[in-house]
Amino acid sequence: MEPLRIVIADDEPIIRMDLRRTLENMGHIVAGEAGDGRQAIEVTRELKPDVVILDVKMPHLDGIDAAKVISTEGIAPVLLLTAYSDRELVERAKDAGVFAYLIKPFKEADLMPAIEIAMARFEEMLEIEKEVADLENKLETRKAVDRAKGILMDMYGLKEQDAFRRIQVQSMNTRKSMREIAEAIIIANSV
Amino acid sequence: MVKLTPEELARLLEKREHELADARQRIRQLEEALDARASEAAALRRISEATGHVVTTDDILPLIAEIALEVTGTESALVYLFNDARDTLILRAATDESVKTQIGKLRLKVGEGITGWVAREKRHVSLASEAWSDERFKFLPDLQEDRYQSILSVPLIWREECIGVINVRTQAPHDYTKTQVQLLSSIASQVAGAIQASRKVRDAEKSATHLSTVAEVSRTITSNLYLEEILQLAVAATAQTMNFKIVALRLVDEDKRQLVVKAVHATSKEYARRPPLHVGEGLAGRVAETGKVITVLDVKKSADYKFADIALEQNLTSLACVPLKVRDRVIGVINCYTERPHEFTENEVAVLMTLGNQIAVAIENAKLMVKGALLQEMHHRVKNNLQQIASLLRLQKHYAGDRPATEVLEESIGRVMAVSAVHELLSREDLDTISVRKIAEHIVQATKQSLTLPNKRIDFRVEGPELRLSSHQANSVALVLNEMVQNAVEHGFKIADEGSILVRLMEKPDDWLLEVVNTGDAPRPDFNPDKHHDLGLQIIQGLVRGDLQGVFSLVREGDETIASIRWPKT
Repeated sequence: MEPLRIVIADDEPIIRMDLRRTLENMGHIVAGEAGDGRQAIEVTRELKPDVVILDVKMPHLDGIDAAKVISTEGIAPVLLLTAYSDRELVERAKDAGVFAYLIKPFKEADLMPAIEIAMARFEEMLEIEKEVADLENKLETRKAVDRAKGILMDMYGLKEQDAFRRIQVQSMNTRKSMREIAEAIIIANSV
Repeated sequence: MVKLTPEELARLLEKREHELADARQRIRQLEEALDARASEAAALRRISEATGHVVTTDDILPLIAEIALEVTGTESALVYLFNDARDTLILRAATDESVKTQIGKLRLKVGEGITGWVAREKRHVSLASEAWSDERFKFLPDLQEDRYQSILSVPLIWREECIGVINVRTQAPHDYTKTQVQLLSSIASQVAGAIQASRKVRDAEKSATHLSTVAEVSRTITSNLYLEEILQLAVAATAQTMNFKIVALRLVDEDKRQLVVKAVHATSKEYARRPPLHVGEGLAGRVAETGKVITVLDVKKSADYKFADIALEQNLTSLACVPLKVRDRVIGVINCYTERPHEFTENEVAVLMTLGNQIAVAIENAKLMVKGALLQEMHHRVKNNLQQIASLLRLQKHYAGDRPATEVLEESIGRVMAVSAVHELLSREDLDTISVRKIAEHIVQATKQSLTLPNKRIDFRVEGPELRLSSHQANSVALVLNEMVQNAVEHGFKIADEGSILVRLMEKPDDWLLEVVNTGDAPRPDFNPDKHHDLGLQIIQGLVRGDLQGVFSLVREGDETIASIRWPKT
């Protein structure tokens, strides 16, 4: 496995030392440390690590709120470290975009699988987001092309197939997407 | 065809003329009646409008008086209503300015005067002149009755019960026609209906506020308020919604069997200083013992009331003392005082009892919640500490190298003991801060006992001012101090057999300075704490920087090795 760049945040220096040592022994790099939630966000934004490990109970901003910011900005997958194990917290963590969590005191052997789960889920989320954006674009393209076809058919008395062909040819000739051509036709028509 | 004689014709004509006159008369009467009906209708419409828009009796009654005056064409109108006990009529509205000062004050017993007679007999009285010579007349100077020749007094009847009387008067003699009497009677019955309706509205409003008090208290059960807040809210809500001067809540202290004042809603702080009462002692004590409500009309006159001085000072009169019951157990009482004498009605007592039960449940829940929150917090702390210990042991494992297992374990035990010293101190004192001195004493004591070098004679001392730290910082200081003391023993007395170790806390203008001074061997000249990869030093550096935002240093001055940490005051 490629060495991972990791940011760790916990308000207990001893636990940070332990995490650092354990992760480094596994061949990973602890790129940065933070003692509270606010600092954790700053360090993560700056270092853009492969994964962030956050303790829940930290001063200033707790781990879940920090996770929310990091997830929303899509910077890195978050693994939550918590002494709590109640359902409410797990729900809050899920909503905040936490991808995996470990309950304190954690075992050395559990650390890596949890990190892998967090990373895999994050990857999955990015994929889905990309897919959604792609589908949205396709849908918009289809809507625009349909309208543009209608305009061409009305203006030049073309058949649907011929109108489509014209947009396609124009797209190829100008090296622009069908959507761009269709939108241009719509704009031209509305002026 | 029949021929009529002139006489017959004359008689017939006369008869016809009479019939015509009668008819004219009837038409006039009908016209008058029609007029009366019309003005009656107008008056009734105004009353309905008035009653539709204003809901309190005090708002309606002056309007009623004005309308009565107008429709009867008289000079003065008075409205009386019965009190709650229904034995006294109270003047509630008047059209004359000179009489208005008597509103709410003037009282008539049933049967007293013309008005009292009307109320008792439920029949109207109409006197055209010299009303004062009627045998039922009673002279009331405040009403200037002697100035009025005529009076028409009509009962307000609602479902066959008299609820009051309307009087209209004139100074000159005045004949009240049948229609005028009817008109006023019809107004009276409308008024009676309106008043009953407005009373119902008032009662409904009252129960609504009572209910919302109960609801407000109930809401606190589900919200995350701590006990004191709940108590304060309960007394404030009770006082405000039910208009009490002072509301005080006492809870039973089960160990001492005493009732202790826990929350007071009052303008003065005096009440809160009342001493505890034993269960069974005084009114509150009796309520706590029996679980039954006690009401007192005037506490100043009650022999059982224990705080006559405050009752006088705060001007307290009536009291309702209500038990706070959970199932059948009384957990406290709530004392509700009024400023004016007040007879607590059955309905009010019922509401107060419901309130008492709700508050009691709220208190029980709050106690459980506090316990729950504490438990949750303890659980969290325990887990965090276990994590810290697991981390210390794991670090030890990584750093151990080929050192003998017993030595490594000794070190670990020392660290766990240092952490436990903090908890020991935390549990012993009821505070969330811990004295650094006491931590030092603990660590020194533990080190002395675990000293495995029998031929070494080391003198330990702790000195410095009192400094209390939060449990989090204290935890770090304990671990750091433990490492510094261990190092002083281990490295300072490797060769030297005799000497001293001094733990010294010093207050500097901006910093705290904690030193461990030993008179043993000097550190190796090439020793650099920043470059050293010993776990103990790593722990010191990590904690001092991370938790205290401070610095660690190690120097040799003369024949003393001084390890110190310095961190800024917060």
